[in-house]
Amino acid sequence: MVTGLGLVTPLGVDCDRSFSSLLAGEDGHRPVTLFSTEGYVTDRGGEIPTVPEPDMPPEHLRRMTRVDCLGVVSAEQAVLQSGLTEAEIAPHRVAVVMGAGAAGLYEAYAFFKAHEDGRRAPVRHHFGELQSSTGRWVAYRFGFMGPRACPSTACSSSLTAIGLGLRWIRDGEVDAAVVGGAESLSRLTFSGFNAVGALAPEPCSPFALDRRGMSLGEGGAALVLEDRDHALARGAPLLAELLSFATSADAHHMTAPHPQGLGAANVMRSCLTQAGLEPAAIGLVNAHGTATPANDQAECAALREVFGAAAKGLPVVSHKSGIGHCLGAAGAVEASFAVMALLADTIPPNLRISEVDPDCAPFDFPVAARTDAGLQYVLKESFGFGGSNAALILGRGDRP
Amino acid sequence: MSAAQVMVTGLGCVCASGTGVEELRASLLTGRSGVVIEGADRAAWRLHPEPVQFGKAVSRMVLRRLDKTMRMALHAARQAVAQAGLDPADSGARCGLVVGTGFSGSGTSLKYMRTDWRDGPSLADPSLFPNTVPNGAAGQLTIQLKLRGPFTNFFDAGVAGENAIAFARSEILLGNADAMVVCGVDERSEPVVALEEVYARAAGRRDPAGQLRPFDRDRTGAPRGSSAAVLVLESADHAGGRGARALAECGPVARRAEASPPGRWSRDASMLTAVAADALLERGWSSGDLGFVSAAACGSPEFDSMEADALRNLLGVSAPEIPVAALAGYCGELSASAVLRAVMGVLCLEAGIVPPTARLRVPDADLGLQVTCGDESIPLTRGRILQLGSGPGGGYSALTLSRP
Repeated sequence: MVTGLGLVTPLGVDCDRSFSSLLAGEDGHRPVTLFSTEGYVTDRGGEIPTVPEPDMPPEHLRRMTRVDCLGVVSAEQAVLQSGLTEAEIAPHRVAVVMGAGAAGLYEAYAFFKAHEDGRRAPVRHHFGELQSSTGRWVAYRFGFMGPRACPSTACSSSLTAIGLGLRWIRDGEVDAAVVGGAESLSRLTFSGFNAVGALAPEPCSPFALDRRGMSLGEGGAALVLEDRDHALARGAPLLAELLSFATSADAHHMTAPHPQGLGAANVMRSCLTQAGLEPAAIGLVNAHGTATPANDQAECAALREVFGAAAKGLPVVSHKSGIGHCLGAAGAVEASFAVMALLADTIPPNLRISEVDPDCAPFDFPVAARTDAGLQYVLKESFGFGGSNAALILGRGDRP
Repeated sequence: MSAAQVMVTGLGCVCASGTGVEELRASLLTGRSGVVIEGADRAAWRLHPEPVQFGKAVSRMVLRRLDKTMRMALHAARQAVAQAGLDPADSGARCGLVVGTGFSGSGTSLKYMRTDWRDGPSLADPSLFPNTVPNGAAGQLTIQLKLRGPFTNFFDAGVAGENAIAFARSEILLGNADAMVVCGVDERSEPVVALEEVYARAAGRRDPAGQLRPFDRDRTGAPRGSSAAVLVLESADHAGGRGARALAECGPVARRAEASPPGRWSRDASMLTAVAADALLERGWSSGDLGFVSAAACGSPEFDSMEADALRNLLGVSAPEIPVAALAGYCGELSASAVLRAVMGVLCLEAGIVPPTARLRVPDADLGLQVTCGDESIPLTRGRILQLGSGPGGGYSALTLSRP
């Protein structure tokens, strides 16, 4: 079960503010101020204006990267909501799995530049542990001593982190897990996506006919997962149920998806099978939806393949139109929104779709929030460089 | 064999002590390390394998897309898959991949940024960018070997390899895959060498890396190496069903992690003892059943002492009798060393040996362990290995290997 949620996004520094802004159709893209964007096709990104500081002493705060702060603040919110630290639970029975794609590269860039210029870099700019450091800070913040891992599969990293938490709980290795991921904007990723021609000049519009590419964003998300009996025994809030999880590889291309979405379809199908659900049971697809033509088309091809007759009119949303692509954090941020959609029984809107790409038919891409949606299950999927695919299914937490 | 058993059916490696398992096996028999640490130019130290050659097996067009990390990983994976007799392309999505790494992508990231700095944003080299991601080697392996099953990549400064092995076991036992290719890969890239200097300066050490002498009385630290190692794991039923030879059984991975902030590794011996005890318990073994312990020691003064404390706690009165071999001297310190050390462990089970601790000159008598040394391996009396893992990321792990 999901018993706690934490979020820091370009739309707000907690779950409520982020989700209400999302439902209102607000746009978190703004001019990037973290580094110079001169020479790139856009100066816009989902930058968080002020990253909140976690409740840590100054000697630690000075060592924490931007992405560490995003991850730890998210975890603080999630753990507080779950009441996990109040529970009688052995520290080594709580895992921490925080995924990272380019995490820490904002500071690592400074390390690389200092090295290149023959200068010394501040200690927090050392790249050696940057990607796995967020999970380590989370564990330290709460004293959790169970297994810890940092899955790094580019843009599916944090969705994989959630799935690993589920696995470890089901395997009996731990009773609870703090899972998620964080990502900050960085010059290296901005430059890279610019170089490969993936960045859109204006904020992105997934699945729209006139889409011109992706926008980058940043954020942090954390979820507390617990075995159902464990959560029930201590009266923890049951926000949602995590039913299934799967990964796969396209084995096709480093940056382009399999054109028919072969690997994507495999993880979706596996999730449905594991959960014992028919496609028609899914009330909402929380899509990867990057807004590059190839990605959106491949994702829709996979959805058509898996959902068959149930594809027509199936609601599909991509939150990247509101917050940008948070890369390694995208899966966890968007899965958190999926949990909130289940709790509110409300489908959030897609932004900037005036006309849907016919290649993305026959799905329904809502452009306004839809209340009383009757949601029971949401399919969440994330895909990344290297042909990595991950998916999971979330259900309402109040199911018997 | 039972359905709950996970077997090793293929091995591959590329490291300073051998390109291919036959070379590595020969090194283990005699304690010969290919590592050379001499001179002031640390970039010239030999902590990496010879450049791998693919012949006509991989086209030049493909090779041009692969950085050093990827080439090492691909070479090792091709060996392992061939030995296992697997054809992943024919297995649909039933054969997957998991990679553990500490620094994959770091060298290419620096190269990429240099093109941005030198030529400007509009001319940064787009061909380099895909290889900057930490799962670049993993992605290329899936593409080149057509591995479409369960897939992930672990990034960690200490136990990435153990997490990879655990993930593979889980996917097999859950029935999500028939076989998993498990790769551990690290590259001693230019940023890694730079990082060694920074850490040494922060620690007030003049020697930025140390001489890589595990459990040595005069140990001073360990430089990082470059290597790739691959295990093919599959269920006993699947291996038996297709007539594959099981080389060893791979037991569960016991894991914990300390709750300390980055940069403050407490080196908690009790935690390492606990995971080691958990790993033995999972197999129903006692410490006296062990043929040898494959230690994580790399020549760090503090870490090696901590591991020795943990082993004495675990082994109790058996400590003087159970051989302990630290294998880092064969290849350098690695973030994903678990996979390479597991490959070495399986080779030792097959050869019936306990290998010498390479590069060890004068064993530290204060550690109270029977650490192997010299230039001759000793006979393995029991076909059971306990492999310990730990690292600056604060993770502690233990796994077991045994004869099939």
